Amino acid sequence: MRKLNILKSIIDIFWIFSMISIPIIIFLFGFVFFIEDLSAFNIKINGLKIETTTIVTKVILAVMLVSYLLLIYCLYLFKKSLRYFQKLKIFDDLVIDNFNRIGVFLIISSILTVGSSIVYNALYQKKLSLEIGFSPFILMLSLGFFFMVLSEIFKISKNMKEENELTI
Amino acid sequence: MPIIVNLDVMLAVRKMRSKDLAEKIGITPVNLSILKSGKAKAIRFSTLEAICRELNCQPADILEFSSEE
Repeated sequence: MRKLNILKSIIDIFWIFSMISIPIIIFLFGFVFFIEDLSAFNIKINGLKIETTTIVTKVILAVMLVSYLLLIYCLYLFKKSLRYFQKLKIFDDLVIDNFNRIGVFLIISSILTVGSSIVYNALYQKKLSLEIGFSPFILMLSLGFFFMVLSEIFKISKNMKEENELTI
Repeated sequence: MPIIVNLDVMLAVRKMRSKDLAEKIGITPVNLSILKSGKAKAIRFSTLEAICRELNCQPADILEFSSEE
C-alpha cells in the first residue's frame, strides 16, 4: 500500500497545482477572449503559437481550454478512485464508472487538442503536418483506451468477486 | 436463475430448522439463508454433500431446473 500512498500524494500535489492554475487560466482566457489584438501577447499553448486574432483563433483557444478542463476533471476522478482504493473498495461500481469516464474524457481531450492545433496550423500557418511516432496525442489516446479497458476488466473482476462471495 | 433451490421444502419435510442445519453442516445461518433464497451463484459439492447427508436426501430433492425465467 506504500506505492498507492506515493501515487496518491503525487496526484494530490498535481491536483493542488491545477486548482491554483484554473482560476488564473480562466481569468487570462476571459481577458484574451475580449481583447481585439492578440499579437501584443506571446501566447503559446501546447507548442502552438497564437499570433492572429480572429473569431476562429478564439474558438480554438476555447476548445483548448475545454480540453484542459477535461484533463483536470480526469485528474479529479482518478484522485477519487485512489481514495476508494485506500479504503480497500477496489471493485466498486464508482471506480468502474470513473475509469470509463476518465478513458472517454482523455480521448475527447486528445482529439480536441490535436484537432484544434491541426485547424490552426492549416488556417494560419498554411502548414499541415502529421506526426507519426511517440507523440503526446497518441500517448493520451492510448491512455484513454487503457482506462476504458481497465474499466471493463474491473467490471469482470467485480462479477467474479461477487460470484466467489455467493458460492456457498 | 432457472435453478430453484427447494431447501426450505426439504427442511419442512424433515421438520428441521435452518439454524440447526447450518450448525450441522458447518456454514453460517446467513449463508444458508442466501442459499435458501436463491441468491447464491454457486454451491460447492462439499456443501451439497453435507446437506444431503443431514437431510437424508438426493441433490435433485434440493435443486430443480426450471426453463421459466
